[in-house]
Amino acid sequence: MFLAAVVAIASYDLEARLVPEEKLIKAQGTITWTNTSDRPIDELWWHLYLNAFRDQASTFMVESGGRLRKADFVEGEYGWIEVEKLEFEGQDLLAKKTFEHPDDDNDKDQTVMKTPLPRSIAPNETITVRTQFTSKLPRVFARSGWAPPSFFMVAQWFLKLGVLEKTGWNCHQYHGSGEFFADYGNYKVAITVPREFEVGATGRRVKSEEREPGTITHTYEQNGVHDFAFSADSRFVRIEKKFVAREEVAPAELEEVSRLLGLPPEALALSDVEVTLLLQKDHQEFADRYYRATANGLKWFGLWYGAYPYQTLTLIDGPRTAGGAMGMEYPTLFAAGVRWPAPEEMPIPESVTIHEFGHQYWYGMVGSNEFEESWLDEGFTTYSTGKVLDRAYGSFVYAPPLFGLWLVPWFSEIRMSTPELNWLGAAQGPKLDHVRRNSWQFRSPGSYRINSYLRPALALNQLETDVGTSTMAKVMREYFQRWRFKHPTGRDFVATVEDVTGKKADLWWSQLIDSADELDYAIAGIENKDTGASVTLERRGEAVHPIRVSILLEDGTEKLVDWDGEYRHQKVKFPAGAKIKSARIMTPLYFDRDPTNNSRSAEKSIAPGLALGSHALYLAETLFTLLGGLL
Amino acid sequence: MIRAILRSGVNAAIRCWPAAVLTYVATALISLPLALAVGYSFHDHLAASADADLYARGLDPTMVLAVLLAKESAAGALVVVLIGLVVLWGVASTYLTGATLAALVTPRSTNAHELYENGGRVFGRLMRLLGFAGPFWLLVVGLPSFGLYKGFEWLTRDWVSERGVLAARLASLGIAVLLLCWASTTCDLMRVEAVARGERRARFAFWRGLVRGAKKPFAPLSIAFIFTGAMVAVTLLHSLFDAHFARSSIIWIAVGFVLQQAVAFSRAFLRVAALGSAVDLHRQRRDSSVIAVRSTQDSYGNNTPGTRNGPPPSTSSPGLPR
Repeated sequence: MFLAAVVAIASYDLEARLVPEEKLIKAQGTITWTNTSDRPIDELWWHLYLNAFRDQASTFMVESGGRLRKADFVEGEYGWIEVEKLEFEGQDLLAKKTFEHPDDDNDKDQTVMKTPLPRSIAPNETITVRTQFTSKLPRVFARSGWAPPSFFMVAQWFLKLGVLEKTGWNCHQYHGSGEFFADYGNYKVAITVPREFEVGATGRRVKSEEREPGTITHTYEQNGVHDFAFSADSRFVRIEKKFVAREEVAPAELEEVSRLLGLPPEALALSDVEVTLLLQKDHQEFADRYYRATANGLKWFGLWYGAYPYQTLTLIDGPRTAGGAMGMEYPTLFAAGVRWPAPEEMPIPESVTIHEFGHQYWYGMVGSNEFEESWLDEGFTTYSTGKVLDRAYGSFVYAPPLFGLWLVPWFSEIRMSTPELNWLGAAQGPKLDHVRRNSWQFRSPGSYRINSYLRPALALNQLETDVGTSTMAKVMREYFQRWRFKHPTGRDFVATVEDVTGKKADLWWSQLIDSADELDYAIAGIENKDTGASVTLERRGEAVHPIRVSILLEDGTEKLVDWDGEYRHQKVKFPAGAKIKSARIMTPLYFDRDPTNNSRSAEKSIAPGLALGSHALYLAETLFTLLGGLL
Repeated sequence: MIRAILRSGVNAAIRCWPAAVLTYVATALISLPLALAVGYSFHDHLAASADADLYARGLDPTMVLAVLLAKESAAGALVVVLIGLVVLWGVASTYLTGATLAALVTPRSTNAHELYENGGRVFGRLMRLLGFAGPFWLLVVGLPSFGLYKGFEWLTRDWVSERGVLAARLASLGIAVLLLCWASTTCDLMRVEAVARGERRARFAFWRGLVRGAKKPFAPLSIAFIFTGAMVAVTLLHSLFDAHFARSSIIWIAVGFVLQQAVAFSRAFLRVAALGSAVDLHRQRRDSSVIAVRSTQDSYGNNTPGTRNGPPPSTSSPGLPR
């Protein structure tokens, strides 16, 4: 409904033909752009993302080393985009094109192109550019490309305008870490493929026709999106389902969220959505798990933040050869992915499905800049995914694989919530980067992952603890409602927090987002003397956070102590006669470097040393027996 | 045949129970420094926690990582200690194997004193043999396994069927396990040559053991499958049980410890049984040999011929025991 009100800045009307044998997309069409700034514009900046795979010298290949998320570039299988025509008012814009490299000194990189205009474009003026281009898809290892036997994930495939900001064009190169940024618009794309190919794409399929023998042309339209991708495979199994809101949302769930947000149930109404699953033949057994996860995403994101506004949603499930294309989001379409066997105890298709669906909100509709503040989409999505997983499924088993089989029976007792899992991932990584940082400037891909996904998710968990679950739900809803179809920054989120809570969020921002400070509070000691008893609290990390401590006395009474946590230590004293049994930090600290020092007992226990020492003895014996038996 | 191997191995291990005890005790003693260091680290970090008993119940990954991070430098030192212990174990294991084989080739029961003495007597030749057996093992197991891994990756790169890939992965793993079993038991046969036959020259013990393993590969494979398979099965079954066994009090921690050590002892027993079977295999082959090159008294106390396939045994020293 409100899609009609979305300001269309960059719109694309394209006709594309997939040539499977040559891995080519041949396309032509028009691009319409409106100058929404208050000054005349003399040039256009374009992303040519596929040129990241043109050779080994591109910034992407240099930074990534030809590897992304465990998938490797296959030698010789390059990709590129060649713009053959770019005309404005009959004039060739390519004549004066230059390749720009705003982020580094790599003059070999061709992922950003600047085309001067023959005349200035006045504020609020809309122009149309005609184009014709050919895109060669690489063998997929980084989101876009082809994979045997017949899979195509056609993403970042067309020349795409940068975003004009107050300071000029925001048009970064394609980097090894980080993703994309674009303006909203209306898309109409006609895709011609050989008839045996099944297609899934951004938007609604409005027409299918046979323009040439042996081929079929599907036309897709979607307003209010900032990208367009499609996938084609002759082996896809198409499963169509309908998310019927009134059937999916139980009255009790509606009531629960209504109370949480303080909104009437009518304000939480969801729309029906046509869900298409395009699955591999041998993944059909996962269809129900895929759909349930998608439906849970539609339901809980919709109830918490606002209804999913589009009519369609398409899930792509690629073959195992296309691992590099999986786990990626595009407007109204996402690539999930599963590998057989995927035990039901583990959230293997669920977590990736809900995460990639979640990007429909944090990236798709709230269009933050993934180059400059990747935490705003990845961190928010990780946090929201955890909320949905915990709410809809409870805790999961996270067992490691061995030779392709999951060791579930050995790990079934260890069930973890998503914040615990995120803590495990974040705690063991490098701690030198701030969460808020240009994606390509993180120290390593690992640091990018931790600071874009895990630490911001934990920071949001912490914020939720600090402001309360209900207030946090209102913050997130307000942020979504306020910034959908716009380009917010982290500061805009902080402003939203402050507006909703009525409190300053400076400390949260400066310590957890715009810093690499660590948080660690400890109950450092308990003393029981004839002259009195005391508990010593310590701040062992740089970050400051108020904490509440529960102190249990021998006589059974409990005393709650609040500490602002600013100074490095604090002693809580009790008069003579009092005997302290134990003390515990009650405030959940999701960023805590060492959660094991958050409680203390007056009496020491030998149990952990004995139990874990005996485990170590046994493990060493096993290792030595193995070595002795082998050689 | 399998029943015969099983019977001969178990009988040998029962007869040479001091060797099984020595193997178990030595393994435990060499593991102890590491266990004490780990136990102390966890005790130091967790004993004062109000959740200490909870941490003792099971391996909570959050707790383990928190302690590892808090004791990062100690964890690094532990790795160095572990490497040192592995080297020490390499030496001790050679001594233990020698002592065990020497006990196994003797038709009567061996007391602890003889066990220690004989272990020392054959230690030098087994260490020299390691210079041949080690590279042989790496060549036969390491290289093909690496090749199998790379070949599997190359072969399955474009495969779509995940079940097919899993089957291929398990098949390549099975081949690697076959090679591992054959090579490991063949190394045992080389040791048997060195100890039972009294062959001091490492290259001849290596060659004869290799020939024996290669001529009838099913026998060493059977020994490995039966006894190493039993060790793996016992370990896996116990680990499955242990994963669900909550150590909710000191009593249950003690019970858990006893169970772990029972498994460790059973593995030592099975190791001795495997060596017993290898010795028995060697004895049968020698008994069935018909071409007499020269008559001498071997470790079994029999007048035995030489072999047709290898050089004569060293004449510089009789076998064991003296």
